Amino acid sequence: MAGNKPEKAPSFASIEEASEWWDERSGDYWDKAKEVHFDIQIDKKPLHKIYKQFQTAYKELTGNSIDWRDIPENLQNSLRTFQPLSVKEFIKLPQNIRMAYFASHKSPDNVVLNKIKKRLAFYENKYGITSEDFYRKYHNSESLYEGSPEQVCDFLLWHGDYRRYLELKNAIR
Amino acid sequence: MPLDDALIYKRVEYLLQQIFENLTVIGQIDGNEVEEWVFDYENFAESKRFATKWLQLADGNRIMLCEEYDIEEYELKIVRYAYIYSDMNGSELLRAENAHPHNVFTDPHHIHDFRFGKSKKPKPFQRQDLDNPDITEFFAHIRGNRL
Repeated sequence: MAGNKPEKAPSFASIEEASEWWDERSGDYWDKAKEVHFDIQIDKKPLHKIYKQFQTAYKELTGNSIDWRDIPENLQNSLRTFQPLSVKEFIKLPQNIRMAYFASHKSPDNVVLNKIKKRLAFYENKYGITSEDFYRKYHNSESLYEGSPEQVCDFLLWHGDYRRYLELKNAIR
Repeated sequence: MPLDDALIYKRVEYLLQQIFENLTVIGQIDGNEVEEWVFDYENFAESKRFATKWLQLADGNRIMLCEEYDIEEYELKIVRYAYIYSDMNGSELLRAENAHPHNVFTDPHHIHDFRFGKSKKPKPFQRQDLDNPDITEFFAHIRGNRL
C-alpha cells in the first residue's frame, strides 16, 4: 500500500466515503498528520425531557419516585432511542409504569393541534377534498367503507382527526 | 393524570388485553409489508381515539378496530366506532359500527356479515340498552358463536 499511495489524500463527497478510504489506509499518512483537538457535545436534552415527563407522570400516579435503574430495560431503550415500544411489550409492563408511559407521551393541546393539522393536510392532499367536505360527506355514511382497505383505514383516521381538530380548536379558542 | 386521559387509558388497556386474548396478531400492515405493531401514543393519548390500522392475524385474515371518545359527565363515551374483519385480500367478512344510515331496529349498533353473500342487511350488534359497543361480542361473531 505504501508503495503506490498518492502524495495527498483525495477529497471526499461524504463522511462515509472518507471513513471507508481511511479505514483501508490506516497508518499510511501518519507522517503527514497533524495533532488536532476537538470537543464532542452530546445533547442529552431529549432523553432528559422524556425521562423527566415519565418520572413526573409516575410520581403523580403513585406518589413515589422512580429511578432509571428501576425502569425495565425495554422501556429504557425506548426512552433513550425514541422508538416506541411494541404493543406486546407495552402490555407486559407493570401497570403503574404502563400508565406513566401513556401519560408521559401527551403533548400540550397546541402541539397536538399542529400535529393533527399536518395529518389533515396530508389526507386532503392525498384525496383532493377538504377535511370539512370529507366530514360532511362521510360522517354517518357507509360509503366510508366502500373504498380499498388503505382508503378505509385513512378515512377512519381522518374522521377521528377532524373531530379532534374541531374539539381542540374550540378548546384553544 | 387528568380524568380524560385516565378513562381513555383504561379503555385502551382493556382493548389491547382483549385483542391479545382473542386474536393472534402477527403485526401491523403498512403497504405490502407486515411490521411490528408499535404503541402509537399520538393515536391513543393525543387524538382521543383507539385505531389499530390493519392488523395481520395468524390465520391470514386482517382486522382493524377504531373507536373515538368523548368524556361526558365523568364517563367515557364511545361516540363512533368501527370494527372490521376482512380476508387476506381485504374483502370485508364482518363489520360492526354505529353509523346512522339504517333506519332499522338495530340502529345505531349493527353488524354486517358478508361471509355468506353480499347482503347488506345489518344484524343487531350489542345489547340495545347500552350505549357503548361490546368488543367481546365482535370477537364472538368472528368465532362464529353469534350466527
